Amino acid sequence: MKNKGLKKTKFPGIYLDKSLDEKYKGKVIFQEKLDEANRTLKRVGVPNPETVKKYSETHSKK
Amino acid sequence: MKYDRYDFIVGDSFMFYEFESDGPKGKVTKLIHYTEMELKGFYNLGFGDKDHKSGEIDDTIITDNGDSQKILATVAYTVYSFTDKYPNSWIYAKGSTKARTRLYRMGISNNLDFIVQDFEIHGLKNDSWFKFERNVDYEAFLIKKKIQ
Repeated sequence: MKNKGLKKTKFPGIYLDKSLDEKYKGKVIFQEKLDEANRTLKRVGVPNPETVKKYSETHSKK
Repeated sequence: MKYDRYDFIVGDSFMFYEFESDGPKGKVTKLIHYTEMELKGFYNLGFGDKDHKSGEIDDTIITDNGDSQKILATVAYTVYSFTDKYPNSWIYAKGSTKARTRLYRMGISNNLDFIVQDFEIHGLKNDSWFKFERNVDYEAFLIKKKIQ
Protein backbone atom coordinates (compact mmCIF):
# COMPACT_ATOMS: atom_id res chain seq x y z
CA MET A 1 0.00 0.00 0.00
CA LYS A 2 1.49 3.34 -1.00
CA ASN A 3 1.01 5.65 1.95
CA LYS A 4 3.68 8.21 1.16
CA GLY A 5 2.43 11.76 1.51
CA LEU A 6 -0.92 10.69 2.91
CA LYS A 7 -2.22 12.17 6.13
CA LYS A 8 -2.24 9.85 9.13
CA THR A 9 -5.44 9.36 11.10
CA LYS A 10 -5.63 8.93 14.88
CA PHE A 11 -5.44 5.15 14.32
CA PRO A 12 -2.00 3.65 13.59
CA GLY A 13 -1.69 2.25 10.07
CA ILE A 14 -4.70 4.13 8.67
CA TYR A 15 -4.07 6.91 6.17
CA LEU A 16 -6.48 9.46 4.78
CA ASP A 17 -6.79 9.53 0.99
CA LYS A 18 -9.36 12.01 -0.33
CA SER A 19 -9.21 10.47 -3.78
CA LEU A 20 -10.90 7.31 -2.48
CA ASP A 21 -14.22 9.10 -1.96
CA GLU A 22 -13.92 10.82 -5.34
CA LYS A 23 -13.26 7.47 -7.01
CA TYR A 24 -16.36 5.78 -5.60
CA LYS A 25 -18.63 8.81 -5.00
CA GLY A 26 -22.28 8.02 -5.63
CA LYS A 27 -21.65 4.34 -6.30
CA VAL A 28 -23.29 1.57 -4.35
CA ILE A 29 -20.68 -1.11 -4.79
CA PHE A 30 -22.40 -4.04 -3.18
CA GLN A 31 -25.99 -3.36 -4.27
CA GLU A 32 -27.20 -6.97 -4.03
CA LYS A 33 -25.89 -7.36 -0.50
CA LEU A 34 -27.39 -4.02 0.47
CA ASP A 35 -30.80 -5.00 -0.90
CA GLU A 36 -30.67 -8.29 0.93
CA ALA A 37 -29.64 -6.58 4.17
CA ASN A 38 -32.54 -4.11 3.84
CA ARG A 39 -35.00 -6.93 3.22
CA THR A 40 -33.69 -8.85 6.23
CA LEU A 41 -34.05 -5.93 8.64
CA LYS A 42 -37.53 -5.20 7.30
CA ARG A 43 -38.52 -8.80 7.94
CA VAL A 44 -36.90 -9.49 11.30
CA GLY A 45 -36.55 -6.01 12.79
CA VAL A 46 -33.62 -4.97 14.94
CA PRO A 47 -32.47 -6.29 18.32
CA ASN A 48 -33.37 -4.52 21.50
CA PRO A 49 -30.11 -4.46 23.47
CA GLU A 50 -32.11 -4.26 26.71
CA THR A 51 -33.97 -7.50 26.18
CA VAL A 52 -31.97 -9.56 23.67
CA LYS A 53 -30.89 -12.96 24.97
CA LYS A 54 -28.31 -15.55 24.04
CA TYR A 55 -29.37 -18.34 21.73
CA SER A 56 -28.32 -20.89 24.37
CA GLU A 57 -30.68 -19.28 26.90
CA THR A 58 -33.69 -19.81 24.67
CA HIS A 59 -32.67 -23.10 23.01
CA SER A 60 -31.25 -25.25 25.77
CA LYS A 61 -29.70 -28.59 24.78
CA LYS A 62 -31.63 -31.67 25.82
CA MET B 1 -6.63 -8.19 18.50
CA LYS B 2 -4.58 -11.35 18.26
CA TYR B 3 -3.75 -11.09 14.57
CA ASP B 4 -1.48 -8.98 12.43
CA ARG B 5 -3.27 -6.66 10.00
CA TYR B 6 -2.60 -4.60 6.89
CA ASP B 7 -2.24 -0.81 6.79
CA PHE B 8 -5.02 0.80 4.78
CA ILE B 9 -6.32 4.04 3.36
CA VAL B 10 -9.68 5.60 4.13
CA GLY B 11 -11.67 8.23 2.26
CA ASP B 12 -12.78 11.53 3.79
CA SER B 13 -16.24 10.16 4.49
CA PHE B 14 -14.80 7.14 6.38
CA MET B 15 -17.11 4.93 4.35
CA PHE B 16 -14.54 3.60 1.87
CA TYR B 17 -11.43 1.68 2.90
CA GLU B 18 -8.80 0.12 0.66
CA PHE B 19 -5.83 -2.14 1.40
CA GLU B 20 -3.60 -4.64 -0.37
CA SER B 21 -3.49 -8.31 0.48
CA ASP B 22 0.03 -9.60 -0.12
CA GLY B 23 0.62 -13.34 -0.51
CA PRO B 24 1.59 -16.17 -2.87
CA LYS B 25 -0.93 -14.99 -5.46
CA GLY B 26 0.59 -11.51 -5.46
CA LYS B 27 -0.94 -8.22 -4.40
CA VAL B 28 -4.72 -8.00 -4.39
CA THR B 29 -6.54 -4.74 -3.68
CA LYS B 30 -9.45 -5.09 -1.26
CA LEU B 31 -12.23 -2.59 -0.88
CA ILE B 32 -14.55 -2.16 2.08
CA HIS B 33 -17.64 -0.01 1.74
CA TYR B 34 -20.01 0.92 4.56
CA THR B 35 -23.29 1.74 2.82
CA GLU B 36 -26.20 3.51 4.46
CA MET B 37 -29.23 1.26 4.72
CA GLU B 38 -32.90 2.22 4.50
CA LEU B 39 -33.10 2.20 8.29
CA LYS B 40 -31.46 5.36 9.56
CA GLY B 41 -28.21 4.75 11.43
CA PHE B 42 -27.69 1.30 9.94
CA TYR B 43 -24.82 0.55 7.54
CA ASN B 44 -24.10 -2.53 5.48
CA LEU B 45 -20.50 -3.71 5.50
CA GLY B 46 -19.53 -4.68 1.93
CA PHE B 47 -16.17 -6.22 1.20
CA GLY B 48 -14.60 -7.47 -2.00
CA ASP B 49 -11.61 -7.71 -4.35
CA LYS B 50 -10.85 -5.07 -6.94
CA ASP B 51 -10.09 -6.26 -10.45
CA HIS B 52 -7.20 -4.11 -11.62
CA LYS B 53 -8.11 -4.45 -15.29
CA SER B 54 -11.82 -3.68 -15.12
CA GLY B 55 -11.88 -1.74 -11.83
CA GLU B 56 -14.90 -3.82 -10.84
CA ILE B 57 -15.34 -5.04 -7.26
CA ASP B 58 -16.19 -8.70 -6.75
CA ASP B 59 -17.33 -9.96 -3.35
CA THR B 60 -17.61 -13.59 -4.43
CA ILE B 61 -14.08 -14.20 -5.68
CA ILE B 62 -11.87 -16.57 -3.66
CA THR B 63 -8.35 -15.16 -3.71
CA ASP B 64 -6.75 -17.84 -1.55
CA ASN B 65 -3.76 -15.63 -0.78
CA GLY B 66 -3.00 -17.43 2.48
CA ASP B 67 -3.80 -14.42 4.66
CA SER B 68 -7.46 -14.77 5.57
CA GLN B 69 -6.84 -14.10 9.30
CA LYS B 70 -4.85 -10.98 8.51
CA ILE B 71 -7.59 -9.78 6.13
CA LEU B 72 -10.27 -10.44 8.73
CA ALA B 73 -8.27 -8.51 11.34
CA THR B 74 -7.95 -5.62 8.87
CA VAL B 75 -11.70 -5.59 8.20
CA ALA B 76 -12.32 -5.64 11.95
CA TYR B 77 -9.97 -2.70 12.40
CA THR B 78 -12.01 -0.67 9.88
CA VAL B 79 -14.98 -1.19 12.22
CA TYR B 80 -13.05 0.68 14.91
CA SER B 81 -12.28 3.50 12.50
CA PHE B 82 -15.83 3.68 11.13
CA THR B 83 -17.52 3.67 14.53
CA ASP B 84 -15.09 6.30 15.78
CA LYS B 85 -16.49 8.56 13.06
CA TYR B 86 -20.10 7.32 13.40
CA PRO B 87 -20.35 6.24 17.06
CA ASN B 88 -24.12 5.65 17.06
CA SER B 89 -24.18 3.51 13.94
CA TRP B 90 -25.19 -0.12 13.67
CA ILE B 91 -23.15 -2.24 11.25
CA TYR B 92 -24.82 -5.11 9.42
CA ALA B 93 -22.36 -7.79 8.27
CA LYS B 94 -22.95 -10.97 6.32
CA GLY B 95 -20.57 -12.92 4.13
CA SER B 96 -21.28 -13.38 0.44
CA THR B 97 -21.37 -17.13 1.09
CA LYS B 98 -22.15 -19.30 4.12
CA ALA B 99 -18.44 -20.12 4.37
CA ARG B 100 -17.56 -16.44 4.53
CA THR B 101 -20.22 -15.73 7.15
CA ARG B 102 -18.70 -18.61 9.13
CA LEU B 103 -15.29 -16.99 8.74
CA TYR B 104 -16.71 -13.75 10.15
CA ARG B 105 -18.14 -15.75 13.05
CA MET B 106 -14.79 -17.40 13.72
CA GLY B 107 -13.05 -14.04 13.58
CA ILE B 108 -15.48 -12.58 16.12
CA SER B 109 -15.29 -15.71 18.31
CA ASN B 110 -11.48 -15.73 18.35
CA ASN B 111 -11.38 -12.12 19.50
CA LEU B 112 -14.63 -12.01 21.45
CA ASP B 113 -13.11 -11.14 24.83
CA PHE B 114 -11.38 -8.17 23.23
CA ILE B 115 -14.27 -7.07 21.00
CA VAL B 116 -16.96 -7.06 23.72
CA GLN B 117 -15.01 -4.47 25.65
CA ASP B 118 -16.00 -1.93 23.00
CA PHE B 119 -18.89 -3.41 21.01
CA GLU B 120 -22.27 -5.07 21.33
CA ILE B 121 -22.48 -7.98 18.88
CA HIS B 122 -25.72 -9.60 17.81
CA GLY B 123 -26.16 -12.69 15.67
CA LEU B 124 -29.15 -13.52 13.46
CA LYS B 125 -30.50 -17.05 13.61
CA ASN B 126 -33.86 -18.33 12.42
CA ASP B 127 -35.11 -14.77 11.89
CA SER B 128 -34.35 -13.68 15.45
CA TRP B 129 -31.52 -11.63 16.90
CA PHE B 130 -29.44 -13.04 19.74
CA LYS B 131 -26.59 -11.76 21.83
CA PHE B 132 -23.45 -13.18 20.20
CA GLU B 133 -21.91 -16.26 21.77
CA ARG B 134 -19.40 -18.79 20.53
CA ASN B 135 -20.44 -22.01 18.75
CA VAL B 136 -23.72 -20.76 17.31
CA ASP B 137 -24.05 -20.74 13.53
CA TYR B 138 -25.42 -17.25 12.82
CA GLU B 139 -26.64 -16.01 9.44
CA ALA B 140 -25.66 -12.35 9.85
CA PHE B 141 -24.35 -9.95 12.48
CA LEU B 142 -25.18 -6.51 13.85
CA ILE B 143 -22.42 -4.57 15.57
CA LYS B 144 -22.76 -1.43 17.65
CA LYS B 145 -20.18 0.52 19.58
CA LYS B 146 -20.86 0.62 23.30
CA ILE B 147 -21.50 4.05 24.70
CA GLN B 148 -18.57 4.60 27.06
